[in-house]
Amino acid sequence: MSAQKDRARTLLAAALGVSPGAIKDGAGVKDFEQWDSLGHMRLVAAIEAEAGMILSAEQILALASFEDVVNILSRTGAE
Amino acid sequence: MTWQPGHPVRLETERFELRSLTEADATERYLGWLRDPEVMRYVNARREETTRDELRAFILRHDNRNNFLLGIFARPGGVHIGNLSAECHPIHRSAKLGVLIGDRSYWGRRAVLEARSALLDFLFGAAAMEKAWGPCYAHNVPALFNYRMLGFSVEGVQRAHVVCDGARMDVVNFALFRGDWLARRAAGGK
Repeated sequence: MSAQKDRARTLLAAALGVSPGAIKDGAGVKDFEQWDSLGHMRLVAAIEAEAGMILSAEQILALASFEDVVNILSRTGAE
Repeated sequence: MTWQPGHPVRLETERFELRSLTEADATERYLGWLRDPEVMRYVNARREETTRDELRAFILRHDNRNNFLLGIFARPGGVHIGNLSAECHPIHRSAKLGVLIGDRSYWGRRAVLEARSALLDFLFGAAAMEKAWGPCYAHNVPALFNYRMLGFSVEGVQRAHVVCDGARMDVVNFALFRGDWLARRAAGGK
């Protein structure tokens, strides 16, 4: 899980244009001005590339925190 | 705000002025958006060949009574960056929403959140709507994000309802009720 969290942290940080260290456990969409519609789009694209699949609208809507990114990477089996 | 049905609407937010479009707003800039495939990717219309006269006619179809087409103009300066639309049903008091941010430099700058919040205040206030709803292509990530951030709920999914990028795609219908919006506003939500 630690590797998964590190990967999620890296993906989310890149999508938002912040340093990985800025992504704390428990961080959510309201904690980052950069987590806007384009940031969300970059995040979805990064997860899709990592997982090799297209996310459903339900999965896209469920992404609202760092933990959500960890969970979706775990569920899609992305490594 | 003071507004009478049939009269132009004018709203203000921190960064934008929203006002009913007029014939004079059928500009080359606006026409350029309709020819931009990225801007029009998730719009239920193909308007590459739209002429200025057709655009004027489109604008004039909005009566500021039940059909609204508000331009979003940056403040200060008044640069037209996009539009919001609302088709209001006077009996059911529901409003179908639409949005187009044509100026790509405003993508990812929370323009939709700010402008749509003002529109929702108007629709649930002066226009006396009880429900706002909007369809969204299932992979239109920015639109999904914006609906969710404003507190809209998913009401249902129309399976393989549209063609986008050469493939059939679901459409997700979002909705927000007046009471939920007012409660959100009272709690300080934008």
